[in-house]
Amino acid sequence: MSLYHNSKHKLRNVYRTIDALLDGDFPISSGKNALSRLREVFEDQENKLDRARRIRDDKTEKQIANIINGKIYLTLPILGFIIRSTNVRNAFELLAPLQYIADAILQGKPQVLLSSEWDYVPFAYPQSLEDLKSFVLIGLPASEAATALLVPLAGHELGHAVWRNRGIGGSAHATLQARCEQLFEKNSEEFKRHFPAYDPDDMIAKEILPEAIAESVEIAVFQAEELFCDMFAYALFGESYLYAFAYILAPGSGGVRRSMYPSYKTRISVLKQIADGEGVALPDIDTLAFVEEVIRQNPQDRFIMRMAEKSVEEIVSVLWANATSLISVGKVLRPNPKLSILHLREFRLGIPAHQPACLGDIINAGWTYYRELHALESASDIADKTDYLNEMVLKTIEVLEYTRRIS
Amino acid sequence: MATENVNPIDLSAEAALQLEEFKQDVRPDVPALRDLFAYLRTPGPAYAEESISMLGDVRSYALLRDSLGSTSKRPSGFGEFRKSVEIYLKDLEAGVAAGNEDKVKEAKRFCLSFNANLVAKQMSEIYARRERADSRYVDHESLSQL
Repeated sequence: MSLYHNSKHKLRNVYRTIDALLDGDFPISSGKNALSRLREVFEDQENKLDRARRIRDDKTEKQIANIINGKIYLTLPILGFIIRSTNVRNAFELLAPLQYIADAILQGKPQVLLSSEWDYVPFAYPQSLEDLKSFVLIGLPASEAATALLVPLAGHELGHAVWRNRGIGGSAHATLQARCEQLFEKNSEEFKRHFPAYDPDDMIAKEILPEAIAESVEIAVFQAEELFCDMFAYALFGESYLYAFAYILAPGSGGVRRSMYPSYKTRISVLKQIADGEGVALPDIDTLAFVEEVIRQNPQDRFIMRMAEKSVEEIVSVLWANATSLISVGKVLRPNPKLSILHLREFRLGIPAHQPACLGDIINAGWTYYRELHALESASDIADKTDYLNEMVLKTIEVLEYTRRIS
Repeated sequence: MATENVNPIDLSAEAALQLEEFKQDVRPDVPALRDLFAYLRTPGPAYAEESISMLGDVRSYALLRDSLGSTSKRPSGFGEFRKSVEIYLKDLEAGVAAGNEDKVKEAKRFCLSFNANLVAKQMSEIYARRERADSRYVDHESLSQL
């Protein structure tokens, strides 16, 4: 079987797939631009494949075929994402304010693509997408793609792009790696107790230590990124970020915490601490209806996680300083509770707010009104008014957008 | 070379190709190998203070270790390992520049091995990310206890 010919045929099919999508209608050019860029990526791989064939380099040809498979695997969900970005289930009103924030804070003017995911998780695609570095892809769950009150989650996902684009991750990584190494050194006796197979004189067994440190650093960088994104979203949206966060994730599974994510308790308490420092009272984990998570039982996992989390704890204030500094330098307004109250009064009257200046103010007013609606007696009244609220918020966001354009 | 606009998968594949072309006298030099090694050595962008290069990143330890040829002695500790990798890369660079056949062959082996390990790591990160996304809402371990 010819790997070369199979790869060529796969590439032809990828081109056909992309070209068919390019023939479609795109209300915003960023989708088409991303598709064109992806096509170029595959053309570049085909060029390499042909070169390897010409010089009869079987080994490199095989590896390039492997890369092509990997890129197809990575790209197919993105193609789906891009085509879904044109669907009217998305709230197109949300795109302009997110692009505004991206333009103010990110370098290189990346294009924001907002779409929906057939998955119950807000998602950003910056990771592994070396081929689309000048794009920021943000997906909201398909059933919530038009829910304006969840735009703070998109703020969190935008934070992932900021983490990379502005080098926040680079700086944090250096500090976290150094700190993890120090913590392993300081807790070496405990490490040896939990990892009895470790032997610095054995060629294989000595690998246990650097691999454990590497795992801790991996977790630490991952958690630092998530906390940064929480802080970034909080800086942009205030308390509405926590309400959006709880809406999607609460109560949580309540089981043993298996994932690398920081615990809900940590995430919420970090934001509460920050808010306390600004004189703002945020709801706590019980008010947000999260259940207690159980820590891992495996002592090795617990040790590695503990080292990671300790190192992250020590840079929380730096991460917050980075988030606020970027927002301030980008001249993006932070929420103002007084303006939010004015918007709330208009929502209570059943009209979009006028003269909005900050997306966070609109969303905070929206969440406050949303919670007020829960006091209504009739379930159908709550449903109707919640839908109407969504329309008012979206309309207010449009007002914000055209106000910016004409000023 | 601006590290933010290139990626190590494409760089290492290009370097492997160029090494073969150099070996067959199709080209006079191997700029992609220089670019790849520069990428490994150059710290990424950092907002403040300094970042870490891929060579200095402990998370790349297993990847780099597995991409090196078999060595009779494994250095103890990450710091020692990093120094030994630097020596190895410098040796390859000098050997390729001098047209040494064995070094050209070894450089190509390294590039292909590094590339294969990178692609495998990328794929396992994608699988892990999908699992992490699920584990935000569903704890498979606790479900099995029902």
